[in-house]
Amino acid sequence: MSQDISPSTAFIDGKPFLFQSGETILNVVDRHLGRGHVPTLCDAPQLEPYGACRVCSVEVALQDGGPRRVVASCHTPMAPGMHIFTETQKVRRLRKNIVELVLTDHPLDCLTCEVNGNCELQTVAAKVGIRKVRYPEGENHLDRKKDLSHPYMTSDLSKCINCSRCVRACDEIQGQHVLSMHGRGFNARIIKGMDTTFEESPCVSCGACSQACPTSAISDVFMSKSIEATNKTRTVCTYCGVGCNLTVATKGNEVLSIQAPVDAEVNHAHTCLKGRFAFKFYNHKDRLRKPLIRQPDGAFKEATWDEAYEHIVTNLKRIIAANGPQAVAGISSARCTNEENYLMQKFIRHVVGTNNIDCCARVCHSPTAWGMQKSFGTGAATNSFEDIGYTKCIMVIGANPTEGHPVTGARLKQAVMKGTPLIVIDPRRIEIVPYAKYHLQLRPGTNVALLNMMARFILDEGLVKKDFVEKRCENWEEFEAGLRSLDMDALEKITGVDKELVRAAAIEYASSEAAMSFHGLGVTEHEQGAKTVMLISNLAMMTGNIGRPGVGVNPLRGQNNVQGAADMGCQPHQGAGYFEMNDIQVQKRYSEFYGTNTPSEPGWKIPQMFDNAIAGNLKALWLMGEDVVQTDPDAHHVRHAMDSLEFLVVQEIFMTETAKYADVILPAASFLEKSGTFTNAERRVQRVNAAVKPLEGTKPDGQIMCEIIQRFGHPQADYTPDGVLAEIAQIVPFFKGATWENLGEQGKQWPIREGGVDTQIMHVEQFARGKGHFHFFNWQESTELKTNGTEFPFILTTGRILEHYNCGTMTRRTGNSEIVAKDLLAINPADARAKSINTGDTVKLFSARGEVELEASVTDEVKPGILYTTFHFPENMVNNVTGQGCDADTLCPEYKVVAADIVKVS
Amino acid sequence: MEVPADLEARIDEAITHYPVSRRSAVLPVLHLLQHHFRYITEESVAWTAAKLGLEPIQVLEVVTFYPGFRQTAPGKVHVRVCRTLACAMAGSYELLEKFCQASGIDREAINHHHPIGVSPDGKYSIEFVECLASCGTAPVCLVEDDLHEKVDPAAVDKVLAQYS
Amino acid sequence: MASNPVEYLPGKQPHPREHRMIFRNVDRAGWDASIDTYLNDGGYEMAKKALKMERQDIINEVKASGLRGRGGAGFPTGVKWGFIPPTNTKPVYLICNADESEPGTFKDRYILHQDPHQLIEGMIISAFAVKANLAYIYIREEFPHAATIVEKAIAEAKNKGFLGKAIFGSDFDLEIYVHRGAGAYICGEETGLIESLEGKRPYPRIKPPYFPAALGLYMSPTIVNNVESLCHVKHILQMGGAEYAKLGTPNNTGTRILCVSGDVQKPGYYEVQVGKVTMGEVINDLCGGLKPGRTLKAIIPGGSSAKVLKADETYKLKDGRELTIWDIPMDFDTMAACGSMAGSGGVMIMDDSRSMAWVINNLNKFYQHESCGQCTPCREGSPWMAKISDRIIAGNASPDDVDMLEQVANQIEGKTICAFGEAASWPTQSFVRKFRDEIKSMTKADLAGRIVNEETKLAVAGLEA
Repeated sequence: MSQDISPSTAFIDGKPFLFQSGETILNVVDRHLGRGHVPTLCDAPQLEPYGACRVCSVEVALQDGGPRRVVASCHTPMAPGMHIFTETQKVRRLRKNIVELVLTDHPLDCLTCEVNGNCELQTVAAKVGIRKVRYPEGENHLDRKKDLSHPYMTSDLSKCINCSRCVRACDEIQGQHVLSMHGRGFNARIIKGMDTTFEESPCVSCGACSQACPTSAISDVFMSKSIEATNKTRTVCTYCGVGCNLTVATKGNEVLSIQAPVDAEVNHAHTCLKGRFAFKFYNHKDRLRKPLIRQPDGAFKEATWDEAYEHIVTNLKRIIAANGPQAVAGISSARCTNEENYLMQKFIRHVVGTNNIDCCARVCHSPTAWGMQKSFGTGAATNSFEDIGYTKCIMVIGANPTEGHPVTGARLKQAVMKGTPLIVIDPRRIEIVPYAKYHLQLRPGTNVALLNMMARFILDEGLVKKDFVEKRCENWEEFEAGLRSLDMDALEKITGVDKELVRAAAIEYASSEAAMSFHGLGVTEHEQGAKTVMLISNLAMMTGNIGRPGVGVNPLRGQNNVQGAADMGCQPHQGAGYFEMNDIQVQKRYSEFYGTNTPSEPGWKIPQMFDNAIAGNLKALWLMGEDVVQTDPDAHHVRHAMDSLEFLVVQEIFMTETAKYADVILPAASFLEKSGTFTNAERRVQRVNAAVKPLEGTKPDGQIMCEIIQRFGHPQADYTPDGVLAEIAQIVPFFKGATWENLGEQGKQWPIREGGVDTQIMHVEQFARGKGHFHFFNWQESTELKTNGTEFPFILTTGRILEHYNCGTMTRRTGNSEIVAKDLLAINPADARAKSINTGDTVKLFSARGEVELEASVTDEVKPGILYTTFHFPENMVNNVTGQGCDADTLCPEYKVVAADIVKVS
Repeated sequence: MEVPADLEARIDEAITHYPVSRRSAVLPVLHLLQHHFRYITEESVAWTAAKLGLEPIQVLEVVTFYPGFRQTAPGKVHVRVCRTLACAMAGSYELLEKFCQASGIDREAINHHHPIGVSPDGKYSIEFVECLASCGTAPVCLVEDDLHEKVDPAAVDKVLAQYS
Repeated sequence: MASNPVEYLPGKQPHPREHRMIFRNVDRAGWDASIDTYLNDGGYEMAKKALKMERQDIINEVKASGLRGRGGAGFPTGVKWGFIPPTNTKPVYLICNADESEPGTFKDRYILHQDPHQLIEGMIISAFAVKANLAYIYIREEFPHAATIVEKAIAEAKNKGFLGKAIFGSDFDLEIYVHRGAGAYICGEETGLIESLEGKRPYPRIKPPYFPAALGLYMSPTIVNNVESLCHVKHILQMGGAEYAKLGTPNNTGTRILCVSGDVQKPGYYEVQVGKVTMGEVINDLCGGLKPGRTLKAIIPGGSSAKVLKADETYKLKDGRELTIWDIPMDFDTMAACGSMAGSGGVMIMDDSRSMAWVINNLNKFYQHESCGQCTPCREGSPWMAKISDRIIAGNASPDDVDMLEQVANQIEGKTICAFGEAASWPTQSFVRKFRDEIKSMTKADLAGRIVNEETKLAVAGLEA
C-alpha cells in the first residue's frame, strides 16, 4: 500500500501529524498529544535535549511496516514518513523497568512530600504502572541531609534522581555554574559550589534549578511546586525593563509562590531572584493601608478616601486659582502601568492644565529617548531580545546586564559562552567581563571620546558600509569631517584605554555580519548622555547594523515600564504618543479628543520642578510612586525642594523618604494587586493581571487617578484596564492595533498596527524619521570634574546590584535583605593601601554636596582613582553625595560621575 | 598553597597546547599539580579554576569524576594494584592483601568509597584499581609511575624495598 | 622502509604464525624509541610521500585497504573519515584514542612505549588526509611513562621539522599534543573522550546530533581513531590499499594484534593476519596451550565487553559451516556471526578451574566502577548487577536472583546514550544464559520469595493513592 506522504508528515501510533524540520520526536508528541503522553524524567522543555533517563524511549520505523528500533524520543529528530509507536509492550516494559530502578533509590514518602500531586517522578511512576519494586537490600542515598541554609533555595538530595536538570538549568539558563555533579556512576551526586550549601555557594537564587527539578530535591522556601495553590495568574514582573512573565500561585487572597512560564517568549521559564522570590513585600506590615493627611502639628492622621480626596481637590483648586495651573506638577511612575501613566498625564495636562508632567525616565533613559529620536526617529530599542540568538557580535556599553537585567544578562552570557564575541565598554570589571573578548575599561565620563575613537577606526579601516550610509542616512559628510579632526593620541589619554584595543574592538564590531549593541545608564547618566546615545547610533548606521535580525541599538530599560511611561506622554515636551506639545496641530488634536483646552506653555522637567519649587514658582506636586528624595541626586537639594512646596501628594505603597514630606499620602496597590499593561525594553506591551485583590484600604493607582479626575468634575469612567487601553489606542498611533484581548499571553511589540500586527525589528525599510541622521560631537570633560576634581580627586560612579531594586522599598522588605543588607563602596587596592583602608572598614565618602558613611570593599573591579557604590539603602543615602550635573539635552542627572574623596572612619 | 615558579611555567606551557579553549587544560594542570603536591587539595581546585578562568565547581566536578586524581593524601610511595579480571585470575586479590600486610594497611578500610589506604607511618598507600592494561603479564601493579609485571604475591617486600 | 631482517630480543621472538607489521619493532633487538632509530629504519618516508599526494587519494587508499577500526567497534576507517561534511569550513581535529581501557586489551601500550614514531607518522598522514592541523593523543593516565615517551618523540619530530609549521617543507601545518586521561573507561568512548579533552566531565554525547565527524571537539569535525588503526595507515600507504587488502581475509583485511590473557601457557601479544588464525591455533600454537591438566571452559574473545563463548558450543553460520569454538577464525565477521565480537582484540581464556559467577561478579564490579552515571539504566543498573552477583558468590542468593541479574542487564542493553550500556550488560547476559545452571547451583532455593521489598511495596501503594 502506498501512501502520499508530504515531507512534513509523520505518524504517531498510526495517526498522521505535521511537524517542522528540526523538531524532535518528543517535541512533536508533546505538541500534538500533550506533555506527558510520552513520559520522561530528564527532559524539560526549557532545557536542551539530554537523553539520559531513557524513559521517553519509543519504537520507530522509518516507514510503514519497516523494522522497528527503540530510540530516545527527546533527542531523535522526527523525519518525514516516520512511524512512531509510543505505547508498545516493549517500550512500556522498558519505561517501567527504568522507573523501578529509580525508585530503588528514592524515599517513598510521597504522602508527606511537599510536591505530592505535582511530582514528575510520581506522575511517571503512576503512568508506567509501577506496583512493586523488586530489588531488596540495595544501596541508596536516603540519608542525605536537607539544605535549609538559604533565604530562598532549599534542597533535599535524598529525593534526587540524578537527572541533571538542575545542573543544566544553572548552566543553560542562568549560566552561573553553581550546580554540578560530584563523583561518578551511582555515587554521582549534585553539589553546589565547592560541595557546600546554597548559602555558601555563589548561587544567585534565580530558582531555575528549583523549577526544573522534577521532584522536591531542589525546591524553594515557598514550595512553589506544591499543589497548595487554588489559582494561578499570569502577569509581568515589576522589577526591571526585561518584562519577565510570571505565574503567580495564590490561595484565597494570598500569594504563595511565583514561577516562570515555560512558554514565555521574554523569559522562557527564567526569572531572577527578585521576580521569583522577592514578593513578600506585597502584604508586609509596613504597607500603607489608609490615606494619611498631615495635621497642622506636622503629624500624619489616618483619613477616609473621601476626606483625602476632598483635601486634595480643595488644595489643588486653591493653588491653581491663586497661581495658575503652572504652579502644579506631577511625576508619574515607571513602576505603574501604561494605563495609570496615561491617566496621570491626562489629569495633569488636560484636567489641571499644565505640561508639568515627567517621570523617572528623566533620571535614567531620557537621553536614550531623545538621542534615538534624533538619530532614528524613535526613542526605543530597534530590535528584540530574541535577536541575541542571531547576533554575531555583542557590544555592551555602560550596562551591567547580569545584575541590572538578569534574565537578559543571562541570555547574553549564554550567547557569549557559545562563542559570540563580546565587547564591554565599562569603567568596572563587571560580572560579564571575564567572558568578553574586549573590555574597554574607560575612565568614567569619557564615553564620547571612546565611541569617537571607535568610529574613526572603523573609518580608517575601510569598514564603513557605504551603501547603507548613502541610501539610508544623512549628514555623513559632516560626521566624517568631524571624525577626521580627532586627535587619537589625545583621546587615548582621555579614556585611559589602549588605542590598539579600541581599534581591535572597533574592527570586531564593524566587520561582524550582525552586531548588536546594548546600553544602560552608564551611557545616559552623564553630561553628554544624549550625545553618547547618538554616537552609538552612529556606529550602528555606519556599519549597516540596523533593520535586520541580530543588530541595532538596544537600551536596557531600567524600570519595568519606563518605556511605557514615556510612550504614554509622561514627559513635559511630548504628549501621549510622542506628539510635540509645542505644535499647535497637536494641541488641537488633544483638545478635540479630551474636550478640554490643551496647555501650550512648555512644562518642567523633574530637576526644573525642584528648582522652581525652591524658587517659589511650583506650589503643588503630585508624585505617583516615586521616591525622589532617596533616588534623585543631591538629596539635600531635593529635600529643600520638598520642604519648599505648599502641597505635596504622594501615592505610595510604603512610607518612603519622600512620602515623609507629603501633605496627603494615598495608599496604592502593588503590581500583584492590579491589572493593566507594562511595555518592556523591547517595546513589548504585556498584560499585567491582578493575582490578588488590593490590600484592604488600598486602591490601584489607576483607580485613584480616575477618581481624582472625576472629583475635578471631568467625565471619566472607573478604571478598567481594557477600557483605558482602548482609549490609549485611539490617541497613540503605535498602539492602534492593541486590544486587551489580542495582546494575549505574550504581548505585542509596538508599533502595533490594526489587526494586531506587531513589530519585532524597527527601521527595516527606512528609519522612522526617514533618513538616519549622523551627529558629530566632541568630547567634553564633565563640569563636575572641572569644578570639583581637584578638591575631590576620586571619581565616584554609581549603579545597582542584582539583589536590590532602586530605592529598595520592595526588595528590602523581602528575603533579599538577608542576602545583601547594605550598600558597599568599591575601592581599588592601591587606593585602599594609600588610605589604609581594608575590606569591611567604615569609610566616609564625601563630595562638594555632602558625606555618607559606607562599608569598604577593596577590589580591583575598579581602576585606581575610581570608586563605585549603589544607592539601595536609605540608611546609607548615597545621593547625599551625588551632584546636580546633568545631561545637557535632557537634564538626566549625572549619577555616573561625581568628584569625591574618601577617608577611613574605623 | 605555593606553586613554585618552575611548576607554574610548566603549567603555562601545557595551557598553550589548547589554543581553542583554556578549559581543555583542566586535566593537564591537575596532573602537574598532583605530581607536585601528591594529591588534589581544595586549594589546588581553586588555583586551577583561577588559572583557567573557570568556576571552582567546574574543576571540582572533573576532579571527583576521575579516580586518577587523588583527593586524599597518599603515602610517600603509592601502589596501585590491578583488580580487574585477568589480574584477579592471576591472584591480584591476594597480591593486594600481601601489599597491605607488608605495609601495615588495613585491607578492610579500602573500599569503593575510600579507595586509598595509607599505612600508619605514612610511608605507603595502596589502591585497588581497575584494569591497568597489561593483562598479558598479570598480576600487575603500578608503584608510583612504574609498572611491575607478573608480581609474585610472596615477593611484595622486594617490590616495596625498591622504593624505600 | 629498510627490509633488512629484524632481530628480536632473546626470548621475545615472534611466533612463526605471526605477521609482524605494526609490532615489527616491538621487542626488536637494538631498537629504541628515538627518532634516529626510526629514521635509520626508513621512518617518516610515508609521511613525506603523503604530503605530496592528493588528500582524496589517501582517503581512497585507506578505503580500498578495507581497514577496520582496531579500537573495538571495527568500523571502516576510511568511511569514518568520509563523514566530515564536504561543506565544512570549521577546523578539523584528529584525536588518537590511546585510552586503551577495555579489560583484556594491552596492545597500544607497546606501540606507545616502543614505537611512538610509527604512531606519529600515521597521524601525520591521517591528519593531512582529513585536513586537521591540530591533533591530540589521548593517553590513559595509567601509562605515565608512555606519555613521557610520546611527548619526547613529538619534540624530536618537531625538531626535525616533521611537525609544526610547513612540515617537510609543504604548506601543511600540524601540531600534536599528548593529553593524559585520569582513569576513566568511559573516555575510551569517543564522545566521552572529546568531552574529557574539552575539560568537562566525560559524559558521552547524544547522537544525534553530536556525531564527532560533524560536531566533535569544540563542535567541529573530529576524527577519533585508535592507536593501532592510525599505525596501519602508514602501512597502507606503503603497500597501497589494494595490496594491504590482500592481507587477512575479505572484509577482514590486514593484520591485528591479539592480546591473550588468562589461563594459557604463554599469554601475551600476537600480531596475525585477520582471520588467518583460528581460536584453537591461538590457544594451542601461539599461546602454547592450556595449563597442564586443564580443559577449556570459556573465552571472552574481544575485550571484557564481548559476549562469552562457551567451550562446548557449536556455531551454525549462514553459509552452512558449523564451527566449534576451536575453529572460529579470528576475524570481525565470523566472531560476530558466532554471537560475540572481535572488539579490541583482547582474548581472555578461562579453564575449568574458574567459577563463572566469580568471573561475572568481577566484571560487574568493573562496570559499576566505570559507569559514568549519566544515563539512569546504567547508573542504577550496574550497581544492582554487582550487588546481585555479590549475593550469588557469597551464597546468599536465591535461584530467582540469577534471573533477576539477567533482567537487570536486559534493562541496560540498548537503553543508554553510549555503547557502555551494551558493554556492561553483554557479559552478564551471556554468562547467565550460557552458565545458568552453574550459577544457579550456587544459590539457595529457600531464599526465594524474598524478592519484593515489602517497604517499597507499601510506599508505592501510597504513591498510587
